[in-house]
Amino acid sequence: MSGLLLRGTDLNTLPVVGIDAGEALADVKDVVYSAERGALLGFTLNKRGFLKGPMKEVLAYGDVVAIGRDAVMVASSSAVTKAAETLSAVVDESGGRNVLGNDVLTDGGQRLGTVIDVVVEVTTGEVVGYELIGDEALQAHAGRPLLIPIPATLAVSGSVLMVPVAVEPFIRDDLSGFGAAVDEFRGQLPQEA
Amino acid sequence: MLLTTTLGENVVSKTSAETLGSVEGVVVDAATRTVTALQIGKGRKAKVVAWNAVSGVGTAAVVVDDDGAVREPTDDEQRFVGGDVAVIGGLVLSDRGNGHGKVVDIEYDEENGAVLSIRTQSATIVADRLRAIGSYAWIVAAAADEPG
Repeated sequence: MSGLLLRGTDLNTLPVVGIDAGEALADVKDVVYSAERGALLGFTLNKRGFLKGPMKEVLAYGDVVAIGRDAVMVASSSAVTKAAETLSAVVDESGGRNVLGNDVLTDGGQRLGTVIDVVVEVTTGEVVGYELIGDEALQAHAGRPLLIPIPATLAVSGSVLMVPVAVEPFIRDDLSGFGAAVDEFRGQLPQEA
Repeated sequence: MLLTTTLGENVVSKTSAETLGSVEGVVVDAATRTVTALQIGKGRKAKVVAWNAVSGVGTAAVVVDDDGAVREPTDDEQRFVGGDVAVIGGLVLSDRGNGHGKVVDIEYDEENGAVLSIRTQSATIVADRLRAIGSYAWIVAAAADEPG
């Protein structure tokens, strides 16, 4: 996992900046993510400056050139002209709903905790883990949230995310080193047909 | 020459030897990576001198061809003169979305106005990496070793 890992909530409020002209086009309002696909779909947007407030337009992940610590980069202002239906169609199709607050269960029947954030590998837009408020017995340091790697695809129902029990040894509480844990965890999963 | 050396210098007419004002800013073209004009004076009365009307930039003064070299800014120049686009103090952002601090100085060739490097608190960025200058940021190509 060579790319930068960021929490989904780190992306909220980042400016969306056009590379062609150096102008800030919008601020990220929310991250739109498909749990089934384990991928970012795009972003809903807020206007910048005095006219703050939600925009009708959205930014599809396919139009993102790069996501950094300080900005979401797009080629030009035409990237944020898409009507909101473009994303909402994809969201509806994937049973779009908020994963934050969902319970995470292992296929061994243990409850690991409640999702408070997603961890995104920014070069691919792949969601590689969840951050949980979880079971104290799993915490290396009391009171710290848990970072769990997730497989490339996973089962989701109304409010439950199912992860393999094999995830437990790879639970971390710090983003540095989490990339290696994701690689290791995914490396030992049986390859899906 | 460093831009901070030139800022504040008097602008003197070669033909009349009159002081026409002082350098309060510059207009930079990102595509050609050159200083295209000098801003004379501040505020709503600010004027510009096109680079091709400048006959010499020294450490004591900027000499321009004649009194008529000072003119009203064009719309593009007004973005810099009016403060919509910041040169000193402008945010530098890589095309991968990582900030590199704010512009503290610019090194340029006083013979032809070519921008050589952009200096921020944390880095000196060669001008070849400059991609755009806008009201939000100076966009530079990311270094090969930049994460993300």
